[in-house]
Amino acid sequence: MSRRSARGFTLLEVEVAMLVLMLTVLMVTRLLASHERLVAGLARDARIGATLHVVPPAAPYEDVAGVPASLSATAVPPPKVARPKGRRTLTVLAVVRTLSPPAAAATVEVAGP
Amino acid sequence: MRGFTLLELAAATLLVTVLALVTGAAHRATAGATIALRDRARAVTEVRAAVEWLRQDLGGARGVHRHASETLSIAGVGGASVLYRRDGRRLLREGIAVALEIAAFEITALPGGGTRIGLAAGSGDSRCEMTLLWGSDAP
Repeated sequence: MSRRSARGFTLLEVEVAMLVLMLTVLMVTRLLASHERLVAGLARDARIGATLHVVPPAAPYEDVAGVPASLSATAVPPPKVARPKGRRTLTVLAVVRTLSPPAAAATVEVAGP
Repeated sequence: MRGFTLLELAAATLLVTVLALVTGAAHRATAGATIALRDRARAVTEVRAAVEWLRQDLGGARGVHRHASETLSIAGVGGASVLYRRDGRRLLREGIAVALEIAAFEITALPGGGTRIGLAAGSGDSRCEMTLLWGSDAP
């Protein structure tokens, strides 16, 4: 056994070791606090319950074309959709489809009263 | 070279054990919050998926009918109708699952002619509930 290893640690060595340990603990604590904040924020953002009113599309032909209904937090009176009387003919003139973003658009001609 | 004494070994072992316990407790708390958030996100995703399908079909709905407490029929343009029902934890639309972890799908006819569609997923603190009101101004 050497003389150096038998005499223990110097005060400087102990202080450096304590400093490293304190920094490690501090970093871990900050990491945990940051994680908790993140989780709390995400939990707050995730709505866990709601009552919503279904609002049908208001524009003519949107309901026929498959436009989804909207959702409203407050009661909305059903829209007055002006539907012309009599039979109408819709002729699809062109359909444009894209992959990115996935979408489809059609040009139609409405004939009738 | 004298090595370590039994006392030194015992003290070191005790220190390491305490450190491991503290680290484990901290990790358990952190992991618990993450798992709870994951469960909540899954419940919200399930309900949102079902709501999106319902929203799409309700856009062109001419009428909504309650066949049973957990069966909904949406009459569309031209007399075509779409049937929703719950089978176990799955929500089926025309026999095809649109959500896999639905805990409740309740259809209630409202006095004014409207329909209340209740959806829920998850359980406990992670339970997500959403209610859709169709054809009624009642709260």
